[in-house]
Amino acid sequence: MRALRTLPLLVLLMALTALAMLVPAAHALVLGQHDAGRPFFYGALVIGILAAMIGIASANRRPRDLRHSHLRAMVVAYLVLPPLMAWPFREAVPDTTFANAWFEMLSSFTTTGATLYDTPGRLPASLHLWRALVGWLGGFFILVMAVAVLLPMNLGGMEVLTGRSGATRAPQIRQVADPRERLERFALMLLPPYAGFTLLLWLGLVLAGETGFHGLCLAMATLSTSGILPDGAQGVAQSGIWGEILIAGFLFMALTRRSYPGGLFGEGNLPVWRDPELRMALAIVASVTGVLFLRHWIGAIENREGADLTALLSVLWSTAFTTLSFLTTTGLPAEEWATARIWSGLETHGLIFMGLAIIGGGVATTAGGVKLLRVYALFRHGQREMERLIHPHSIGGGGALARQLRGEGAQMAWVFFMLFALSIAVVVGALTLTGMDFDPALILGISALSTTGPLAGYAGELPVRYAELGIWAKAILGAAMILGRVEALAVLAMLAPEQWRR
Amino acid sequence: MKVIICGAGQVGWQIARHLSGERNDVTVVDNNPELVRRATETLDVQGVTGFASYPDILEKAGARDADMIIAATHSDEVNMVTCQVAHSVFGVPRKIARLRAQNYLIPAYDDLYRRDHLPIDVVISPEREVAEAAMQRLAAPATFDTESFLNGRAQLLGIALDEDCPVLNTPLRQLTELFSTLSAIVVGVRRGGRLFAPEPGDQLFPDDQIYVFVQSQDVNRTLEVFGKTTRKQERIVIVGGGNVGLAVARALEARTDRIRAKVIEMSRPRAELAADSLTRTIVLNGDGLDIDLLMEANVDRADAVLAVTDDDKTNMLVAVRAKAAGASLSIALVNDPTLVPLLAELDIDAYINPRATTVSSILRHVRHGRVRAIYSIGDAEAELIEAQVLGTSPLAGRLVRDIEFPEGVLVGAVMKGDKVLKPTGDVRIDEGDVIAMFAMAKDVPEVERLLQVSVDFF
Repeated sequence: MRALRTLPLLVLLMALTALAMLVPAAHALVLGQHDAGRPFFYGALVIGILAAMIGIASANRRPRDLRHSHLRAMVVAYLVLPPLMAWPFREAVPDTTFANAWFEMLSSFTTTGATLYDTPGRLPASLHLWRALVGWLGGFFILVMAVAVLLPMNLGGMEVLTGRSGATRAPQIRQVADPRERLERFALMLLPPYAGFTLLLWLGLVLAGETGFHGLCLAMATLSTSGILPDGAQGVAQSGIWGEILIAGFLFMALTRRSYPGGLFGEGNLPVWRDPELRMALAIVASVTGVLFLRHWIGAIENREGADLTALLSVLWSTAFTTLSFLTTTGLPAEEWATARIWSGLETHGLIFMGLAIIGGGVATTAGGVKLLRVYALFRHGQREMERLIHPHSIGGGGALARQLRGEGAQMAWVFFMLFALSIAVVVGALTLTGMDFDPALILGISALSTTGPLAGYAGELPVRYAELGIWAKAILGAAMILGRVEALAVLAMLAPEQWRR
Repeated sequence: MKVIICGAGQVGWQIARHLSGERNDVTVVDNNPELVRRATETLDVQGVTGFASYPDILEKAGARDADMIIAATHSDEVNMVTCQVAHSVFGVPRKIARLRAQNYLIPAYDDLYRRDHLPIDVVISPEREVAEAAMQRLAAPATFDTESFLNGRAQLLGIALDEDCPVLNTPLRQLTELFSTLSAIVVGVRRGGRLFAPEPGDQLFPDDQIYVFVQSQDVNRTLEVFGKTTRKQERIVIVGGGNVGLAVARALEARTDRIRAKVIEMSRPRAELAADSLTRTIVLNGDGLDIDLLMEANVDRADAVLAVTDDDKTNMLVAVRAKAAGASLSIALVNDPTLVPLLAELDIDAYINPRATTVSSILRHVRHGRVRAIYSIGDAEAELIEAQVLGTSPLAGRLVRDIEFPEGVLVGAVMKGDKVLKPTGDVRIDEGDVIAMFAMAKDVPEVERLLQVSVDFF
């Protein structure tokens, strides 16, 4: 165990990838689909041996700055692991290119869930399991990394609460905690609830009527907010509204870092219902649901169908569920979502989902986007400025933490927001350079940066299909997904000239 | 009774004056020889120069056979240690300390002052008392002095009469008949600087300052009778966000009628502290004398401006400036009693003297026993005494008209159980009743004889 701990993070991740490959291999073996399973078994062997060899070669290597080396390893993991994961995938699907397989794996690993294989029956079940598993592991990866690597460096959203990165360090602090110890501790702390919640949701979904396989994929897609489902399925299949209620309950995990142990940094005594992120999320969901629902309802009244109470409630629920699902950057639409359109005869504004996906879920959760805490900081700052219009000399209350959040925190949030907006502009610009129209470019850019793959199918009037994209567009979107997943600030922290000149 | 008073500043000196005037054996301890000399020269007290918490100094002051120690130095910690030393070394039975810092007064830590921990029998917090005084001032804006008695069921109001008062030049006896349902009783009149207890045949004249004892539900009616209008106070500006200002703002927030208060505080950290502990109140950071800031706080439309910074002159100037800008009422906190005569000239409506408030509340605890409250009126010219009637008292079992009260004593109210009665001649006073009496200073010993309690009652 001690020897394992001294291994570089990347090697460990490679070994874990190899282990994970045994799951689809075993699944295929049980189903008798040896053609699908064999590449994964060989892949596990080869990558395992490779990891062992690199591990032996790099054992006892001590990087100069452990914290930065872990940040670097985290970003590099998004570059190195997807090709490794894509390799057996490519072997198992004879009629696909390696680039497509890489895009699929990258979108799974970043919990984006943008899929090229949405035609039912295109892939064997074991491969869908592999996609969902990679998404689930990707969710766990970012969960652990956010707590163990990003938060101590004041990245990943907590900088809004804690202030500027590396502001003051007392001279007597000679040693900081080894990130490897943190990684181990938090991984062991987070794995039981993460896996347990998944199991619980799976069980619940199966009880609600879902098939075992679809239920498992749904559970993993919910907990990791990847939204990866087999065979191009969108949302629940047989479990209906009860399944959706269950999923909605677990989507709250992606709204606040309090859902998991170890995520309570400071202000642990604040009751959950007073958590700013949760309140912000509830306010957003309530208002967006209200607006969308009223719009449909008025449309339905004009259609003389507004008096149908069952339809009304079903549309209300499906609007709320879809809103929550896109806010957490999961992107599972409600089953009845399409009927809302028929009910009212109105098109839905996909734009509002793009907005929700940009806002994103909670800090240090599996969700992407700008993150609720930053939006909250900006909101409080705006509120405070309104007060100052009336009383320019007034002092805001709420405690030192709230003041920090409104002042410096809002500034940090603003910087991040501008970086996010800039990256949207750059990605969209790059996509249009490949010959794409502006509308689909914008939709794809936002869905990649906010790690909400299914957004492409709902945001525009016509669904945008990833399968129809060119190789360059896929490469750009791949880069955007990594950028969206690890957050622009972390990438900048790594790329800062001071970093590589040292 | 032998009393040691530690600290001969304003509070210590005032207490010494009160207690020595009541034939107590008073010793004053202070480390400033000037202050000790001032006390010994002007009052019938002994003086010891030295640090109040040192056991040898206390012994010199006679702590071995002292009945009470009052620690009122400027330092909380010295006061605490003094009480501890007086308890542990000399076994002084009764210990009173003035503690300023609010952190020592958090109710959750009340246990601290138990006999086996830090033995302080009574903790006096000047800031808290001052905040209460300020609240009373705000509650009765047309008065120049207020104090509540009988668990808040009755109030003493000081009212300055002017030309348009409708009840001038009428004998008080007639007023009682005219307003028979009103529970108000005029207990004191100050005319031309002299305070006296009025006879039934006396009349009221313009420029009289009268003290009226009234049941709480009749306060507004009483003020109307004397030609004062009461307006609901909604906009209040508090200048100074220290302990006093903060306590007042908190008390205002706790009230059910939504009062829009604003606090102006100069120091930014202090303002942030105030903003954190208040929710509805708006805290402004800046100089309270700055007219722009005062206008930002809408001082021109304020119903009351409360100047409670730690500087007397600032308070007075703020009050004047606010009044000039259009505020209806201005109240200033004034520490220096010699500044008080200036206030009328400056058109400042009322003032709060924290030291007088502190003295008053310390005295209340000194006169323990059955005396429940004492309020010193004017320059210790008279007192309002609230006391429980003992079975041994000559008052018990007699009708009010049969009791030979001295000339300078008037009964304000009698409380039987939970009921407050107007003391007409045929009210019978029984054992256990609480009686509130106005007494001129010279008649206080006689009142104490009537109540069968003196300062020695422990």
